[in-house]
Amino acid sequence: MRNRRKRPVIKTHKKLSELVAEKKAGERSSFQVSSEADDYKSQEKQVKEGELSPSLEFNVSRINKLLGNPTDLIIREFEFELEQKVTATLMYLEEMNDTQLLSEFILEPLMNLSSEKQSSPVPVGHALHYIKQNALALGKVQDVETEEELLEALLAGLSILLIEGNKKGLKLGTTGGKMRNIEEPASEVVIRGPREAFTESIKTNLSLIRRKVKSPDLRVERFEVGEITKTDLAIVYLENIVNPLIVKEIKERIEQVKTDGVLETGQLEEFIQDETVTVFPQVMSTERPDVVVGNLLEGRVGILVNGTPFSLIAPAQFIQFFQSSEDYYMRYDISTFLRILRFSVFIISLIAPSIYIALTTFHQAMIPTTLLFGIAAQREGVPFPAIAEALVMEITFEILREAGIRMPRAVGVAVSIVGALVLGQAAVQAGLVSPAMVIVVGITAVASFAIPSFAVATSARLLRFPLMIISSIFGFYGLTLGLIVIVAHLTSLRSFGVPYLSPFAPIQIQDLKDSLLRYPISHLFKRPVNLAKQNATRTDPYQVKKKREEETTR
Amino acid sequence: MKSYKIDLQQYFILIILFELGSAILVGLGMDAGRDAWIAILFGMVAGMILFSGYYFLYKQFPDLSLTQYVQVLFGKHIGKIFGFCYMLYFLYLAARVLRDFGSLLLSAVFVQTPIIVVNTLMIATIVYVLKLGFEVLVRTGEIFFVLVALLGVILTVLVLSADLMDFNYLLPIFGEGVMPVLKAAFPVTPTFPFGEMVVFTMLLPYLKVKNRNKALKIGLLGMGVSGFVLSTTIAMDIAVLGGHVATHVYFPLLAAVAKINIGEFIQRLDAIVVFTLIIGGFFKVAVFLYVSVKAAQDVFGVKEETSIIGPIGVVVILSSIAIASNYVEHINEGLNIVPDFIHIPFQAVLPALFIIVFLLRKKKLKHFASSSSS
Repeated sequence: MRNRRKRPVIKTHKKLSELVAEKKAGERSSFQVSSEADDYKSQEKQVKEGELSPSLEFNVSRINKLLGNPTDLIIREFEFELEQKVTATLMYLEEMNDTQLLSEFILEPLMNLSSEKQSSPVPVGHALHYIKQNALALGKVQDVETEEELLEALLAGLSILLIEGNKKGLKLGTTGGKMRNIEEPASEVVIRGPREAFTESIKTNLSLIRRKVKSPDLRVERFEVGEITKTDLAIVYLENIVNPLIVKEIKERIEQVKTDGVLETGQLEEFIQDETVTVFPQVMSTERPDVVVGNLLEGRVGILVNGTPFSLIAPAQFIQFFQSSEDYYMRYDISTFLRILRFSVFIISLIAPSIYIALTTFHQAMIPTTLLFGIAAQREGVPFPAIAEALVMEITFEILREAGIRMPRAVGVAVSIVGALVLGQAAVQAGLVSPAMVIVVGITAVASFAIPSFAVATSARLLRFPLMIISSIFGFYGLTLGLIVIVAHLTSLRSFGVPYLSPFAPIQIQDLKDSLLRYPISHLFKRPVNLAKQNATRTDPYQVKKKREEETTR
Repeated sequence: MKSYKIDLQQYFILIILFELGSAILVGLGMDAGRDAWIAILFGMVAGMILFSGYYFLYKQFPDLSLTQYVQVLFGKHIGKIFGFCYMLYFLYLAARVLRDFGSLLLSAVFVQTPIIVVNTLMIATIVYVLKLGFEVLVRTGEIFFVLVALLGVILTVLVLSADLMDFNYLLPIFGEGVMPVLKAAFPVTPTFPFGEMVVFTMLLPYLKVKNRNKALKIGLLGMGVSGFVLSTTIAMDIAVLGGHVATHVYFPLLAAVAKINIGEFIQRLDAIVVFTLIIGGFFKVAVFLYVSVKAAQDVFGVKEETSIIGPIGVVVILSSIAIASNYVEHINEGLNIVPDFIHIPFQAVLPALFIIVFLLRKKKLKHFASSSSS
């Protein structure tokens, strides 16, 4: 044991010493840089803080110093010919740029420049403008004037071109590097519907949306969030449909986000949601572009964040979490059936154990006599009250579920085998729980998996426990009051000013057609009342229908 | 929160939940025996007349609640005394209804639980909801109204299909003449639950401005529908249980529904009745509690209504225990003392007085109204 213990200690020691050595070396190198910079002290005085100097060497060393001599920063010096020989430097972060682009469209044309081809000799001071106009065969070429801007561009994966004698530089859109391909959605699988999902790249995601909506009213506005990560964020909406107040509110909230970094929309969600003390999601998240577009058409706003395939949709209503994009692609009858099913499933996963507890503890009279005898016989050998039985089983299930997610695939099988034993026959035979309880827990578990939205399934998961406890003390009375509290809480919620429980409370008859029910698409000619106030009517389907009828009669 | 306005369907739903809340539970007008359902209809008509009176006052002061306009009618000091009395009245009603429900639950489900525990849980829920705002209460009402209506329809269908009803129990109509029915109908049935619409004198100012003209129409419609439901429910109870049994059971509806037994599977549905009654009771107590909070706010000049909801809730819990030493006493008070000495003064006499005073001081008040509006 001792030996074992000692070893890692030595190891860390070594590491520490290495670290110290590295740190010293780093300090030395920075010292060197600063001593180099000393030579330009006279220049530095001329150059204002944060501005670029005409001296190429000075600029490069400054940037190198600011970034801490990164190994992946490529600095390529080269010369080209204008009026005279000009030195230039191309800088980029290696893995974030497309090297082929750089060599073919920047280095090659520039190095091939010669004074003979030019109609009149170009002075060095105009070099930047000249090559921008004539030599760089790239779409995205912009001026950089300050150091800060330059660094930002460099870190965002652009390449920088600096030219001796110019107080400006150029940033070149040569972003490249490896990214995941567009794949099928992993968490929102549909049988019928588009098979593409968002990726981690915000550019790809925006292109997916643009391709679906060819409307000039589609607006994309960019933001940057996270003081350190400077994550790209974009909101998309259709200007002719959306309620401008909601857009304004969303923008304001996003601008107010102050944090170190945003890595996932989930973090953003917590910043922009209306109410923090709640288990219900107030913003919807999806990884399907068609869902985002569908919601844009209803007057909602999409929020995309770079680095995550999950986008947010705001404002969200409770009922949306029971709708799937597929509902609109299938026939209305089956969609309505499925929506009602999903909602019942939510109710089941919320209160099934509580009902079992209330029935067996207080309201035995409600159980049909024969069944009552059966349950009583099963519970005869069980030493615990129903609530203890239920809590044990539910918590075991939650443990298994969590274990199943975190386990490596290979071990996952073991978990499911052990789980089946614990949650099944063995527990019953050991006399810990009654078979009826196993069924109840099983139904609850399956039901919670049938809810299309993971976020709402989690709220049911969390609320299940307090409801179980209160119904073990007060039976159906406690359960009813618990449900009243939940409904009241839901009605008090708002998502960006829109009542969370609309169209049920307050009742909006028109919107009820696309809530738990889904009327045929041709009947859904109104957009949601709260969202699209300025442009409430969709393209009228009846005109299309009439036209078709006329044509066929001819 | 004060700026929140309710629209007509919310107003309608609130009336129905409020009227049916506890009335559907107890044997209403049972002194009339098998003609109780007719007594209810008489009571409803009388209640509607009372409501028209409240509406008249509301029309004169569309932005003010009862406890506010008595201060205009009588001046600040006397007005505040009237307001204080009304506050006590609403508090007392909240406590009474709460006691009704506590007793029901004790007799139906929790035989050994102390009533204060049951009542406290109810008030805790109400206080939570009211703290979220009146708006939340109304919207919650919308959702549960649909649920309760659905359950009501299902229960009715089950009672019909279980073949429990014998309409001969209802015959002969007016077997002992009209007088016993009228005697049974007055004064109890107009005052409870229809006369309790007096609480809406506090809530009508919440109506949206554009809906004000329809306040009377929708109000009477709501009362009509709830009167009809109450009357058919009682008729159903009598047809199932027989006139004699129905008059002597504390909770006839519960007894009637308990008889449902279809195929040895659907039986003992009284728990579902209890569920709908809890919801109805919840809304009734919540409305009374909220109204007394509003009254207290006007009388004592409290700025934030949320700050006094909790304390008033505690008062209601304690008084619901203190008003009677047992259920029989509670019911006796409710049938014999409360209507004559409490309901009639507050529901009919005082509003009538207000109307008279208003008519007498009309000119002076008009001056006030015009000056306050400008």
